[in-house]
Amino acid sequence: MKIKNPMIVRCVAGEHILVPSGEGMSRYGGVFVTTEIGAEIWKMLEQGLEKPAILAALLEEYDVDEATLTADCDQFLQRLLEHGHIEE
Amino acid sequence: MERAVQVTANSESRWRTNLHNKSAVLGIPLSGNFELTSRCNFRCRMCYVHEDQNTDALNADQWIKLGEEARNEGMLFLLLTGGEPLLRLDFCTIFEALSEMGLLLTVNTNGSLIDDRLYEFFVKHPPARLNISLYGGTEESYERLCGVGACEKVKNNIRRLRKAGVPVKINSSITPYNTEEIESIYAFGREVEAPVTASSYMFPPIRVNGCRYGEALARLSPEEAAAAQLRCREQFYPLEQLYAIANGINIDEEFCCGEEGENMRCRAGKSAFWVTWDGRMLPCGMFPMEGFSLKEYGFRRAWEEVRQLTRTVMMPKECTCCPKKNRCAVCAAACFAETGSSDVRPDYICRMTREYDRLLCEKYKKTENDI
Repeated sequence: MKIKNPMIVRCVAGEHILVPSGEGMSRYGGVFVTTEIGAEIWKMLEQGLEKPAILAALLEEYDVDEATLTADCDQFLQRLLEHGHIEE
Repeated sequence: MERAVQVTANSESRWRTNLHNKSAVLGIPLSGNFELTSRCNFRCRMCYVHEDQNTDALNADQWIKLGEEARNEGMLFLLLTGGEPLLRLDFCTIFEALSEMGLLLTVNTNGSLIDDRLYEFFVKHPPARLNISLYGGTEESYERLCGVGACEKVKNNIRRLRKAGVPVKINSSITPYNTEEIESIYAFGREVEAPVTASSYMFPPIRVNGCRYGEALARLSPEEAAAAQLRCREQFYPLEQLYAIANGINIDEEFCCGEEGENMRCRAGKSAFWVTWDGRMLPCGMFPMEGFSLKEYGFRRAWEEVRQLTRTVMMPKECTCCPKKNRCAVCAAACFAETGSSDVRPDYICRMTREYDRLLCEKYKKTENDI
């Protein structure tokens, strides 16, 4: 799983936002509004980490139940895939 | 329970409004407008910016540095406007650098200079939105209003950009030179599946007319402007909505006078700012003031000064309790431009709003006989 269209992680007025950038600028005129963990996932994707490594790092860092995190992470990655920001 | 990872692909206006409200409280300059140049290849009669002298314009490095400073203070939305921004030979350099900063970029253009090179550029780097002005459906109306017969060129550019999936919004100004074109402008918007926003209220162009407040030679009378505005709304409001709005209006309601005026109601100077082509920060581009030189003040201090100034600007007391205020185009900058003061009631706008209500009710208000 790797990044296809880049996004910049922003934190504005306390909101975590992923903004499509450069050639990946948005065709739907929008941004991704996410959580601190969502922003962390994107940063790890930027570093080239795969899903198992991302989940392991997050479980170590955050007090979150593994099943919930895995389900949410899958949904997050699915949305990024649908909008063409990552590819298999 | 709050989810560990939420994600919303968001372009909704409600989300933007909430973020603006939050930013206004926190003093964050969320939304910026960079007027990249005052030069233009058109000579539109109602323009409030155009000047041929442009020697003091900021260079590309200065705009990029300004973008970085504003981004670091929280700017997320940025409109690149002019004059005609695509006249700048370094436009793509500025745009590309800004697009790498995590900003949602919108570009205002008259659409006439999008040659193959710029077309390819926008297809490769689509902004969040390209606002293209369309002033009519014929070369004659363009020549009358803009001094250039560029209609087909602009329409063809919009067509091919839309075909390539670039988000385009059509903006239009309705003046005595193109009132007959309203329906064709909206029809073209439907053809290319692009939203259209047309306005028949033209600010007196005091930035370029020597501060002759209230003087706007290229606009309709208030009554004509009201009729044109209704024709615009008829193009995109569903009939039921027009009936609903008309039925909510009490045409006999009296204008009343509040004890004192309110502060500015818009985002200008609260979560939004404007930088003129020569590097002065204003609350918005229509504000007739010198503003704060970014060379002298730097971004952060200029923003603080703009916020401070905005807090002191009061609207006319007559507008505070006016039952028509939510249907009226009045704002502090318009009051300034119309009267020379933010707290004096602008007669032109009042007349336009009253006539708009009258026309809307005449056509769409259901009486007991209709029910």
